[in-house]
Amino acid sequence: MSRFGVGSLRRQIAALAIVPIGGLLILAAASDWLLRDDLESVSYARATALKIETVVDQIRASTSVEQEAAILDATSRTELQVERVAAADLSGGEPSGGVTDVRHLIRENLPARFISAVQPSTAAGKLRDVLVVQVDDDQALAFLPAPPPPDAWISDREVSVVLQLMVLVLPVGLLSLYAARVISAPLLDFAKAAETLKPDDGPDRPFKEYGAAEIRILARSLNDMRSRLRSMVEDRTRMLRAISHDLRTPLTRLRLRADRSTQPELKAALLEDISALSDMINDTLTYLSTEMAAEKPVNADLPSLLTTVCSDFSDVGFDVRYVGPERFAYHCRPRSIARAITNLVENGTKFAREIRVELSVSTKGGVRIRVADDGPGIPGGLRSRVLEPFFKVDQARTLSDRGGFGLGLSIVDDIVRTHGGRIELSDKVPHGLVVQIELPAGDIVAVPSIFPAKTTVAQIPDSVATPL
Amino acid sequence: MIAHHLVAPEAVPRVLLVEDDKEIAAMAIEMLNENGLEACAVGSAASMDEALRRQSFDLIVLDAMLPGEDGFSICRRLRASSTVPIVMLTALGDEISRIVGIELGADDYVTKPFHPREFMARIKGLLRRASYGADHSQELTAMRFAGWRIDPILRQLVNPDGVHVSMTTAEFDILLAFCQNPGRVMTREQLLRLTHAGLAGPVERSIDVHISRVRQKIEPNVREPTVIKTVRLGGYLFTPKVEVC
Repeated sequence: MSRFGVGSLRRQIAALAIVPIGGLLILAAASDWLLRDDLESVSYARATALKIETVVDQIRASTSVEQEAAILDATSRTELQVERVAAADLSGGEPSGGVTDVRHLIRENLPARFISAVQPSTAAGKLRDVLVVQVDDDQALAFLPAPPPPDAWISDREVSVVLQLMVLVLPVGLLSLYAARVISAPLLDFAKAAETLKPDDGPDRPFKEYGAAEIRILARSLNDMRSRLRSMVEDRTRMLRAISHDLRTPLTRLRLRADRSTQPELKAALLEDISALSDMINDTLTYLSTEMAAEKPVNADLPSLLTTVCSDFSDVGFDVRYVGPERFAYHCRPRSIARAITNLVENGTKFAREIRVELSVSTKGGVRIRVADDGPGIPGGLRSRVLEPFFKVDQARTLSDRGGFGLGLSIVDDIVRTHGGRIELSDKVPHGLVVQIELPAGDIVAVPSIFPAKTTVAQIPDSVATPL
Repeated sequence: MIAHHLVAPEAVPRVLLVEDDKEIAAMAIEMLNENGLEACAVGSAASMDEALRRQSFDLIVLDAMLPGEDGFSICRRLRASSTVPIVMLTALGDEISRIVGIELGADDYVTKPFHPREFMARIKGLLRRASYGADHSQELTAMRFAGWRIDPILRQLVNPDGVHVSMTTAEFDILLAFCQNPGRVMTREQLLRLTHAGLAGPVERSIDVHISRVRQKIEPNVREPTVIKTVRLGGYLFTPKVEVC
C-alpha cells in the first residue's frame, strides 16, 4: 500500500481505474462458479429426461409387444439402457434431496405427470442404480443413463464471459492510462520548467497554464511566484550595483590619497588594506552576480587558459607554473573556469611560495585540474567546510592578513558544480594543500586539429593520479 | 575617418575629466598634471558640454555613474560627433559594462578603485595612439588571420578549429597590435607603446617574454615560428594576411 502511495501519479490513477474493473471481473467469475446451473451435466440431464419422456410415451402408445421390444432395443443401443420392470419397483427408493447424482437431476427434469423413483436395484431387472419410470398400473421402465460428460474446468460460457469482459476492460484500461498521462503531463512539464528556470532569464510565465482546473491554478501560482522571484533578483542586482558603486567611490578616494602618502610603510599598509577591501567587494559581487551563470559554454583551449592564469600571477612576482599538455580543447565556460582557478591560485599565494597548476586528461575525455601549493594546508576536519560561503580557516592559515570574506572557494565550488564536476581537497606531502577539480568529458565538437605534430595530449588512466 | 586631434610634439595634451566626486576629480587632476598633462574636471554632462564648447580636448575621462545623464549615454553622444579618445571610469567592474562601454565607442576602460599607474599608462597610451592618427573604428573590428579570429571588443581569440584560446592582457594587446600592422616590422618600443604590456605589476616582463608566450599559443611549431618572425636587429614581423571580418 505504501508503495502505491509513492508511485507515480500516472500509475496511481491508472491503478484506480483498472483495479475496480479487475475486481468486477473476479466477482463475475466467482458468481458464475457459484451458480453452476448451466453446466454440461445439467444440459445432459435435460436431454436425457426428454429422451426418457419420449420412450415412455412411445411405449404407452405402442400396440404390440414386438413394437415395444423394438423401441426398447433401439433405445438401449443409444447411451440410455432400458429394461422392463414391475410397477411395484416404484415404491421405496432413494430420497431425492441433496443428491447430485445425475439420475436425480434427470428425475427433477421429468414432467410432473410421470411417477418415477431412483432405485439401487429392481426385483426383475438386471440393471443397477436405475431410474424407474411408471408406464401403466402394473409395468414400469428402468433407465440406466450413461455417466454424464465431465464438467470442464472452464466452460465455453465462462470463456465467452471473460472475452466479453476483456472487450470491456481493454478500452477502459487504455483510456485510463491515457487519462492518467494527460493529467500528469502538465505536472511533468512543471517539473522540467522549474528545473531549467533561471530567475533572471527566460520567458515571463514558464509554467504553461493548461490541463485540469487545479493544475491551471497551480501553474498560475507558480508563474506568480516566479514573477515575485524575478523582481526579488532584480532588486538584489540593483542593490548590489548601488552598493558596489557607493563602496568603490570612497575606496577610489582612499586609493588615490594613499598613493600620495610620503610615509612608505603607511602607504604600503594602506594599499594592502584597500586592495583587500576591493577583493572582498569583487568576491561578493561575483558570488551573488548571475554573470557567471549566463556565460555560454564554448570550446576552449584549457592549457592556454591555465597558462594565462599562471602568467597573470607570475607577472606580479609569484611562483606559479603550469604543468600539462600544450593544447587541449574542452567544452566549458572559459571565463568561469579561469575565475575558479584564479581564486584557487590566489588563495595559494596567500599561504604558499610555490604553486603548480596541473592539467591531465583522462582517456574518457574528462579532465583533472590540480592546484597544489606548498603552504601549511588545511586540517582534515575543516576541508569540507571551507567550501561553505563565509567560512574561514583562521587558525590554520594565520599567515593571512587579508583574509577576505571566505567566498573564494565557494565561488570555485559553484563553478565546478555548474560544470557537472566535483572538487576535492587533500594534503600534499610533506606539507601543502592540493585542490583537485574533476570535470566530466564535455561534448566537444570534434574538429580535426590543425596542429598534427602538436596534439601530444598526455593520456593518463582514470585512476592514476599525476605525481607532483 | 581620420583623427583630427593630432597632437604636436611640443603641445601639452589637454584632458577633460567628467567625474561627480570632487575629491577624486581633484586628485586625478593633480596626478595628470604631475604627469605633464593639462587637465580640468566637470561634474555633469551639462557642464561637460559647456567645457567642450569653450575649448577642445585631446582625451576625455568619463565616469560611468553620473547624476543626470550617465557616462554610457554621454559616450554614445560624443562618439556620434567626435573621434576624441574616451576612457570610461566605472565602479561597475563587470565584463558586460566593459563591453557595453567599448561598443558605445569608449577606447579604454578603467575600473574603480583604479591603480594610479595603470590609469596614467592607459591615458598616455591612448594619447600616443591618437597622435599616430590611428583609426578608432578600424581598431575595434574583428579580424581574421591564418584561420584565426581576433575580436578586440570581446577580447576573444578563436583558433581555426573554433576553440577559444585565452591570453593575458599584454599578450592580447601585442597580437592585436600585430594584426593592426600586418607585414610591418614592429620594434620592441613600438609594441610596448601600442600595448599596456608592463604596467601590470612590479615584475616588468620584456616584450620578448610576451612574444614567446603569444607564439606558444598560436604558432603551429614554436621552435620554428612562422606567424611572428624575429627580424634581426629590427623587431618582429607578423606574416599572415589579415582580413577584416
